[in-house]
Amino acid sequence: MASLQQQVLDLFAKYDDDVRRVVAEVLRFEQENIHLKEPRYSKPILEIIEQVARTGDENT
Amino acid sequence: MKLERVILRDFRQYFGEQQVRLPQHDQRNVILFHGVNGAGKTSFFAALNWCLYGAGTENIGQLISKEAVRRAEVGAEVVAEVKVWFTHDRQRYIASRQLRGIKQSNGSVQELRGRDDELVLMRTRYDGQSERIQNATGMMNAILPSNVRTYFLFDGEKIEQFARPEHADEVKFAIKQVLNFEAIERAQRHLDDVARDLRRELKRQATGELQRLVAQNDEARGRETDLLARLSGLKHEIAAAERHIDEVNGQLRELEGVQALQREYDLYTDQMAQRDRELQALTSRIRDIASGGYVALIGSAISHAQALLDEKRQRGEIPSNIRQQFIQDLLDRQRCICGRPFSDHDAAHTHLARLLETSVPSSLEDDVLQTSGSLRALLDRGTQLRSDLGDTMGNKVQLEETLTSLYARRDDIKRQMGDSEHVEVSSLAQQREQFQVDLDNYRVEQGRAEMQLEQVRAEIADLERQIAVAERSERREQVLLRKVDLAQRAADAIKAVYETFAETKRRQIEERTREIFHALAWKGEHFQDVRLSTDYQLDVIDRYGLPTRPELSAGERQVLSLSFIAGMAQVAEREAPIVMDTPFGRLSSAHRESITAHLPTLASQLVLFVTDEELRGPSLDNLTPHIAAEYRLHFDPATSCTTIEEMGQ
Repeated sequence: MASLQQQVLDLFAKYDDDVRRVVAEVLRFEQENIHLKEPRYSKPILEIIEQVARTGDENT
Repeated sequence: MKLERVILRDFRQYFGEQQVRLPQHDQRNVILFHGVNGAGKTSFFAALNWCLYGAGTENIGQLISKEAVRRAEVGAEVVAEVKVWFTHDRQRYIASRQLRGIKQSNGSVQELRGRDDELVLMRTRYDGQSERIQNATGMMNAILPSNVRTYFLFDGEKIEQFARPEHADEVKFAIKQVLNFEAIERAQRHLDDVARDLRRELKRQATGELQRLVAQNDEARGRETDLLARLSGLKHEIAAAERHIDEVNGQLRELEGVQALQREYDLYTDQMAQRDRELQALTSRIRDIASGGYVALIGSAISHAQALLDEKRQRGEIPSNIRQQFIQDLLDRQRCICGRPFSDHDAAHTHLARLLETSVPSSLEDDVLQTSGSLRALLDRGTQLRSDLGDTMGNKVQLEETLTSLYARRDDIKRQMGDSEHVEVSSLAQQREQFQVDLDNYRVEQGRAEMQLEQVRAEIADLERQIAVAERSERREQVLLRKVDLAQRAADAIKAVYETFAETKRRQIEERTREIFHALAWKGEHFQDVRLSTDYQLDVIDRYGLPTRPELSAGERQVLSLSFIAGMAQVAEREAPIVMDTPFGRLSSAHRESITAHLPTLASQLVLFVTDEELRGPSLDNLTPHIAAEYRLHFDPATSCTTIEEMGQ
C-alpha cells in the first residue's frame, strides 16, 4: 500500500496539475510546521500559489 | 523510521559514553532493555525523546550527568549529548543534540538551555559523506512529526487514556495527528484564508479605470476622425472656391473694358501672395531670434563680471593677459619685447621677475583668458541680436504696411468692378466676392479645425499613456484573479476529498483495532466487537451487544489503547518504531502472554523497557524468537551511574 502521504495526494488525481501542485506543496509546508501551534502561513502559501501560477502561465 | 544506534554521553545517570545498537533482521524486530526500577529505563526513554524532539525532559530534573559535573573543575564546561542513528525511506540519518553547562562554585551546574541545544540532523550519502540538513525540525516532522511521537514513544502504564470514556477527544486528536488530518485541515483553512485575502485585494484594485479610459479614447478618436473628415471636406471646399475664383478671374480677363483692371487685380493678388510668404518667413525669423534673446537681457551682468575680472587683474590676483611662459622666455633671452637687452640685476629684469612671481599657473591663465573672451563674445552677440531683431521687426512692419496698401488697392478694384455699369462685370465681381468670402470662411474654419485636431491628438496621446498604465494594472488584476482561483480551487478540492478520506480511514482504523484487540485480549469470546464511532468514541462491545468500556480493567484498557495505537499506525503506514516504557507493568500474566504472542507483529521495530518482573516465563518465551538485541541497565548505587551491558555476549 502506498505511504499515507502518497495516499493523500492520490485523492486529488482527478484535479488539474496546478491544483495538485498547490495542494502537495501546501500540505508539505503544513506537515513541516505541524509542531507550531500558529505557523505563519500567509507568505509561504502565497509564494506557492505565485510559483504555480507563474509556471502555469509559462506553460500556456 | 527505524532506530539503528543510540549513543548517550553524560546524560543523566549515564556517565561517560554509552552505546547501544538496535540491529534489524527480518523476524527479529524486538530490542529489550531490562532494568530494575530506577535503573535508567525512563532516562533512556527520555533521551530518545529529547534528542529527536527536544521534549520529554520537562520535570525530570538535571539532564547533565551529576558524576560528570562532580568531576569537572569549577567554571569548566560540561556537555550532555545524545546521538541517534536511524533509517527512513532508505536514507540514513544521524540526529544529535547537546546540552552545555557550566560547573558552579557550589558544585551545581548551570545548564545553558535554549542556546546551542538545537537538533542537528545529518543525512549520510551513498559515498559515506554526511550532509547537514538545514531545516532539521521540519525534516523530523516530515519523518515522524513531534505531535505524534507520543503515540509511538510512550509510557506503557499511561497509554490507557484512549480507552477511557471521557477521552474521545484524545482519540480524535490522535487520529488527526497520526493520519495527517491536522495538516490537511490546516491546509484547507489556510488556503481559504489566503483566497479570501486575495479576493479582498482584487476588489480594492479593480476600478474599471481601463474601461473608462478606453471609452474616452474611442470618443476622442471619433472626434479626430470627424475633424479629419471635416478638414478633408474643407480642403475640397477651399479648392473649389479657389477654382471658382480663378474661373471668374478668367472670365473677367476676357471681358472687354475690364481687362486692364483685371490685370491690375491679378498683379496685386500675386504681390500680396508674395508679401504674405515673406511675412511668414519674417515671423519665423523673429521667433528664432527671440529664442536666443536671453543674451540681450544679460548685458549688465556681463559688464559686471568683466569689471570684476579687470579689478582682480589690476590688483595682480590674475594675470594681465601676459602668459607666464612669455615672461619666462623674455627672462631667458634677456631681451625685452622691444628688443632692448637687459642683464640680471637691472630694473627691467627685476620688473619681469616680479611679474613672473605673481603670475599664476598656466591653466588658470587659460581659464581667465577664455572667460574674458567668452564674456566679450556674449556681449557682442547680445548687441548683434538686438540689431538683428530691430532690423527684422522693421522689415516686418514695412511688409505689413505694404500688404495693407496692396489690400486697399485691390479692394478698390473690386469696388470698381462691382459698381460697373456692365451687368456681367458686376455680376462676376459679386460672385468672386462671394467666393472669396466663402474661401475666407473655409480658411478660418480650417484653422480652427486644425487647432482642434492638434488638441484632440494631444488628448489621445495622453489617454493612451494612461491606458498603458491602466493595462499594466489590469494585467496585475488578471494575475491576482488567477491566484484567487487557484487558492480557492485547492481549498475546495481538499474540502471535497477530506471528509470521504477521513471516514475511510476511521473505518480502517476501527477494523485494524478490532483485529489487534481480538489477538491481544485474553477474554476473546467475551468481547465481540470493537467500535470506533463517527464521533470517535472507542468502545468494546460484549457478547450481549453492550458497550463495556466502563467495565474494562486497567489492563484491558491498556490492551485496547495499544490495539488502537498499533491499528492507527498501521493504517497510517507510518514506518515508525514503537518504544514502550514498562509496557506490561499493570498486566496480568494472561494478558502479558497474549500480548507478547502478537506484539512483534504490531510494528516494524519494537523497543521495550521492562523490569524483570514484567517479562519472564511464557511472556519472555513468546518474545525470544523476535529479539534482535537485549541489554541490561546496571545501576551502581556507589556511583549513582548506570552502565549498559549487552546480554548474551
